[in-house]
Amino acid sequence: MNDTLKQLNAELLALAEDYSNAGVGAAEFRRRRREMICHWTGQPTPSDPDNGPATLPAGAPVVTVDDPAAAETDSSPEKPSPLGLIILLLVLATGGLASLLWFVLR
Amino acid sequence: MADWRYCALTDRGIKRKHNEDAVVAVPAIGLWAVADGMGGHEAGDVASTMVTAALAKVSRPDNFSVFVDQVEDALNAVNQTLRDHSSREFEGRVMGATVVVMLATEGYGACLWAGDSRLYRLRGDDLEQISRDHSQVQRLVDAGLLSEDEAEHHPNANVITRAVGGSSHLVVDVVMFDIVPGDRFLLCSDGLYNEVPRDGIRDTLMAGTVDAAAQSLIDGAIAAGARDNVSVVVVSAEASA
Repeated sequence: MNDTLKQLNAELLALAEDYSNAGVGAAEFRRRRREMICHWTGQPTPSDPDNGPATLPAGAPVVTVDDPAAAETDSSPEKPSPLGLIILLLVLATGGLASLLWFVLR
Repeated sequence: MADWRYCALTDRGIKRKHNEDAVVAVPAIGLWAVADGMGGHEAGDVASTMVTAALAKVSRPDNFSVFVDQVEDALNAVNQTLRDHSSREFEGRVMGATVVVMLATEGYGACLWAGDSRLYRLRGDDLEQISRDHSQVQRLVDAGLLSEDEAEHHPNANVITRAVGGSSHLVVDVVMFDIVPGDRFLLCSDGLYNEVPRDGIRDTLMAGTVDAAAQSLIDGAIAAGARDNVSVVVVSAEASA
């Protein structure tokens, strides 16, 4: 490899290292790498913006809490509250006691 | 457009029951790759196959830097899918693959990699390693604490520091290289270079057609014991008609 190419590759590896250590953001990483590669290949640098390396599978929907799909996913049955359960048990116990007293004292 | 001759082969080797390596060749867009799965049978198989399948679907834009971006995106997508799949189906065990990709066009190319699968370029009788292993011993070599020869026989020689599926944030390294007619390239898994010495790889790569060279490299690894799966892709840059 000639010196220009060695220099380019050293810079590409250093840029990736920076990106790996969060020293540079994803969009900036892509922009600078495109510039470096295009400068060497002689091709024009793409003008369309790039948001950086994708981190989700291609085509995978981004599910947020406001997304109806997310709401559907979270539509599990509601659990009964502990207070309601206690009141129900008290009513049953009171009814049982009243029935027992009626049976004994009648 | 340059003319390419290539041969892609993968072999289970002698000691392993399954082949967790995978290879892909898409000469129409100038893309070749080797992936070496890890995580055991099924996990490793799935990982390397997912990597090569994703690479086979990459399209070729006019701008080479965008081509590099798109390959990187494909690998990042597989990385995320593997992480999800591993936590769902394999109780969080590591499920991944090393990968080395060669992208080529008239006059130049790019190497993208994660892990210790390698790309070499043979020009004349000079064999040059284009990729640089993501491994513990390579870090020691880079720091000047270990020589290349010592690294080859180091007990931690097979401990890698990066792979597709290895961590939630995958960073793929990229380097560029020039191509002249007559150059030969070799992409391979560690099952080759751990069995066949560098001089043996160079001499085999120099001789015969790409098909004969690829088969001889596999045969050489098997003759040396082939403790691991072995994969090779030999690509030759021919002069355009």
